[in-house]
Amino acid sequence: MRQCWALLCLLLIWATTSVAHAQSISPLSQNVDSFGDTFLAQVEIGNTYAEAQKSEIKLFDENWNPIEASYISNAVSRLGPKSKMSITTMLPFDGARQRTVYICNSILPRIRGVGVTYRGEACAKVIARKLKLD
Amino acid sequence: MKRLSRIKTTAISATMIFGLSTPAMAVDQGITFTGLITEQCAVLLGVPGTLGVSPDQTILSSEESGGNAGTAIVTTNGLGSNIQVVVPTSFAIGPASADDNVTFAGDYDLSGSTILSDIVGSTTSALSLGVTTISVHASATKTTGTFEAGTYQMVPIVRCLSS
Repeated sequence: MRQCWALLCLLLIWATTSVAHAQSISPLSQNVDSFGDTFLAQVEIGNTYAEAQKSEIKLFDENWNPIEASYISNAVSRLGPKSKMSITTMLPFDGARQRTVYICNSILPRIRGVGVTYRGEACAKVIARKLKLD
Repeated sequence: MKRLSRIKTTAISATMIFGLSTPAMAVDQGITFTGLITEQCAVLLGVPGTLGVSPDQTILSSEESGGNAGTAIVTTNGLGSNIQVVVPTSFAIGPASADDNVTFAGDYDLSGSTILSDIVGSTTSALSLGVTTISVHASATKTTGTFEAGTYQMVPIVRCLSS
């Protein structure tokens, strides 16, 4: 009986911690407002693997065409196992009143020194609205 | 004089009773606790895929003999996540003629929290809450000619995104 309780406790601990450890990008979607011609967005990326990985931040418009940021804090970084990093980007409205962009944490992992033949991407959606002073 | 003293005593007693009873009349106030769990999506790539070759050497595919699907584990903590597979438009590694007259394709199966099968790669599928395993198949087909001898590698993307 005591062993069953111990097993149940271990399962509960695993269930409550596994999601946090598996975080790859957060938040998945956000709305931002700006008075200027650019807007700021911040996401937290994580390395989900047990080994350090090279993480690349890729930016796309709403039709998944690659776009350039006016500023990005860490476009490429090497993240330690299970570690997280905050990424800040500044993007232009490009003349629009509202813009939807995707910020993707892209990892082509190497597991035990061997490269995997497909890439994982976790993408956050940012909807930016340009405010106007009347 | 005695009467005045009695009135004073009564007044003091009434004030004390009022003073003591005031806290009991205070209005109860609740303390609000708020919490926020931000929506997350994680892609954990597992088994790398391998490409088999068709007997006539016109198809390189994970579904040909000797090929294997690639797998990944996708974990979500909300209902706003979707999954898709982005098929490459060229080989990452290959002989000089690798990309000539080639069409690329891919599909995926989902199991675990979300169950779907034979979904065309570019199709976006909504994920259920929890852990989903995705099996990815990829292929390259020569519309004219055959694949020459060499090492080939293509890199599809398993993408988790917000709905």
